[in-house]
Amino acid sequence: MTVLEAAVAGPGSRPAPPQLPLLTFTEPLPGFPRYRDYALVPADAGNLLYWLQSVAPEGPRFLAVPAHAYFPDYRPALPAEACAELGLDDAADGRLFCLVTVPQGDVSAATVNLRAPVVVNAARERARQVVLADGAHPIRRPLRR
Amino acid sequence: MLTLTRSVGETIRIGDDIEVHVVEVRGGTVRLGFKAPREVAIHREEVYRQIAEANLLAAQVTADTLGALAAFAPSAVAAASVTASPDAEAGTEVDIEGGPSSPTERA
Repeated sequence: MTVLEAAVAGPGSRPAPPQLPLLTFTEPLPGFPRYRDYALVPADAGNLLYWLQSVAPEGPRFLAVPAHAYFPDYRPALPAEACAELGLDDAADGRLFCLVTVPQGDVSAATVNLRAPVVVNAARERARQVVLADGAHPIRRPLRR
Repeated sequence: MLTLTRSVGETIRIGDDIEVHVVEVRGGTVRLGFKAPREVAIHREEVYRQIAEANLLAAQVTADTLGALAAFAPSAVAAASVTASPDAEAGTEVDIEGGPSSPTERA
């Protein structure tokens, strides 16, 4: 299991050989067209927060949450084209991470983008932010319960 | 801006590698088909712009928010889903998807 797969699977998994959990984005994140290589690393001990960090020194970094842990009913339909691009034979094999926004540093107003999840194929170390076609899921879903 | 008038079934070529096909016109709506290399991203402009703006805001997150954000983490996890609960550090058994548990390994 790669470090990335261990990070995605959670603590208690078999320790992985030391390697950087790198993801290649098949398309750059909208807004950051020059960056395709990111690392996805746990930001907390519980694997409920992750850094999605560009490996380029001037590149962006994001906080992301594993979608299903926070929103168990969140099962968006992923377009077949996106799954093919990611090498996912089964859409259910994709792990969904949603980017967190903390407006003006106000954590109580933190939101999660459910309209455009980052879909990860850990086995192939590929990812892509997939913009869902239907508007049912909000771009800014409050994290506060 | 270059404007062209096309009828249903006609095509526009952009550069050497991109084709835009007029597939259907109904009322005030046009259905377009695109043939382009895989690396060319194609989006509805307003949606792309919304996501790009959301990403730009998200990229402003700072590390000092981590502690407070942990307060929003789910405290109980459905058995079918994954990740550990904060109780994991106390040694609670946790259902891990996709890999065997190693009782001796704790973060």
